[in-house]
Amino acid sequence: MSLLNVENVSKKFGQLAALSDIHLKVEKGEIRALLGPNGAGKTTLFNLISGMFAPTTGSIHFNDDEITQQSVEQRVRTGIVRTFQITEIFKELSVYENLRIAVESDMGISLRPWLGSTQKQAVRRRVDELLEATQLASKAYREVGELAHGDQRVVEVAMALAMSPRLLLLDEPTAGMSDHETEHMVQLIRQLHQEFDLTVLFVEHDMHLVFNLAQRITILDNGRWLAEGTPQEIADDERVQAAYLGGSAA
Amino acid sequence: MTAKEFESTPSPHLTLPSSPKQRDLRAYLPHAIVWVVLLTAPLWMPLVGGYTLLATRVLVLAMAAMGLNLLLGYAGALSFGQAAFFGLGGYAAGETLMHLAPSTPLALLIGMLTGGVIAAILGPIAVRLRGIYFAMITIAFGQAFYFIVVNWNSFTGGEDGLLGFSRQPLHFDTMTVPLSGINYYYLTLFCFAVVAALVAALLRSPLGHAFIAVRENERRLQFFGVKAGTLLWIAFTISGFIAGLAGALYAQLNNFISPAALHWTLSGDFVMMCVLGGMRSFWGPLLGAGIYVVAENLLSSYTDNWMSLLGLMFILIVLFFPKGVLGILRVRVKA
Repeated sequence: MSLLNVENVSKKFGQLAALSDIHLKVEKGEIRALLGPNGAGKTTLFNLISGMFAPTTGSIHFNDDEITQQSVEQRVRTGIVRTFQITEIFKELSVYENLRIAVESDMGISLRPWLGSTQKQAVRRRVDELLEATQLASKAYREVGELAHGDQRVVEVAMALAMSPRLLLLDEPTAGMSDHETEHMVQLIRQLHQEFDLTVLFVEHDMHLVFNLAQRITILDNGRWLAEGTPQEIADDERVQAAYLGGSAA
Repeated sequence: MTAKEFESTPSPHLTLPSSPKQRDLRAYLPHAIVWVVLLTAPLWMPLVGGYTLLATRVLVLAMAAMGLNLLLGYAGALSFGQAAFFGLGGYAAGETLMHLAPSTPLALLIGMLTGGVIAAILGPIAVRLRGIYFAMITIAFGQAFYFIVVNWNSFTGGEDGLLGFSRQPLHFDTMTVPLSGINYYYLTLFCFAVVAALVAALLRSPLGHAFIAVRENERRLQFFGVKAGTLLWIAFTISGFIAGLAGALYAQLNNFISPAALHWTLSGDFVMMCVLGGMRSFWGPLLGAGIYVVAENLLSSYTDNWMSLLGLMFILIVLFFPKGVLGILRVRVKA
């Protein structure tokens, strides 16, 4: 039984077939990369999995439950949480305040006009844990908008983490980052994967990062499934080299 | 009500790079100053050429502006219809005193309920819209009520306004307190303090945090499984209750209420108070209301065009100090 099972999924925007007949099985606990050139349909597939829109045909199962038609909110509740390509955070609030909003919505208490002290402490404890886990504790009271780009992306990951994800979808987690920041993010994803028993599916352009971080790789090309395997298998796959890698990673 | 209640009130926007504890201590002083100034106002107002009625007027307008600021400053939705709930609260209070029972507390209660319930009913329509469209539909609501009040002569007194009611002494177990000017000031201050305490508590709660999240990034909030429309409706309704209470106090301050209390220009004045004082600051609306009333009384004795001077000040503030007068002070403190 796979944690995530995408079967025969196609998505058309008018006449344009963005995805055709995609299969994707992600097992519990793995780190999977979704790779492909621009326009391969990676982000479309992400949107289908996270519930931004429904597929034209095909089905998506999560933990054996069909979620094909579920809304974003419902999927978040069942543990499918994503980050965004463009950093989506509350820029004028502090790191602490950002995480507090995420924690409070995960606890289902966002509409409470007051909290007892036990619950207040529970919120505080969870925010502190997240700050600790993502090494943001020293920046807790800084305004997020003032942080370096790399740190903002880490805040975004920490907020996703606050939603108690079982499947964490990371859309280009290192986009626009310096080498140093990228290295930090990779280590962080590895560490969180272990610490929180996560399953991670990520989209990335950075080939080095993909081969470095992913346990398995799925390649999309032009809206179609092209290949799947361990980094070594992918690197050796002739179709992949011809279509995409152009020999550069061989 | 003491300043102590506000000891740990954070300004939700104040994000100094310090720990919460340090922030609590730093936040203590401004609140203490505000409450001392308000509690002693009837003593010092005559010394600076004012009078108690003016101070009461500041409190009443500040209360409505503070309610509006939940929407405007915290949830980030510009409502131009606040005067409707204010005016309806005022009329409801007047009608209560005339037809229901000669009781000031009852008039306040009914005024508050009127503003809040009508806001709760209209809210779901308004919160489907955002930005300028939200502002437009709230103006439309406000003007609809304005014309109803103007045209319903037999009940509201039409354009002449509603006359013939007056605030009533408060009865306690053993004594009766007449609501003279000073006593009415303290009744108003009591109501204002209760509202301020509730708003401050609200802003510290998850609901208050979620209001700010709507303002900052509505789309992100959706991914947390929280509906922005629901949050805006709650903010809209709470601000309606507060405006209704303020309107009921206003009607009994003057023992008179006229359609001007519902007009959209007054809604605009409430927005101006928030922006002038600082809509990201807890006390911004109070300061804005103070500036407004002082301008109204001081400048109007020199020129009939006092509004254009206030307008000029408004433009300068918006252009150069978008966080309002308190925003200027805060930058000073930070620097």
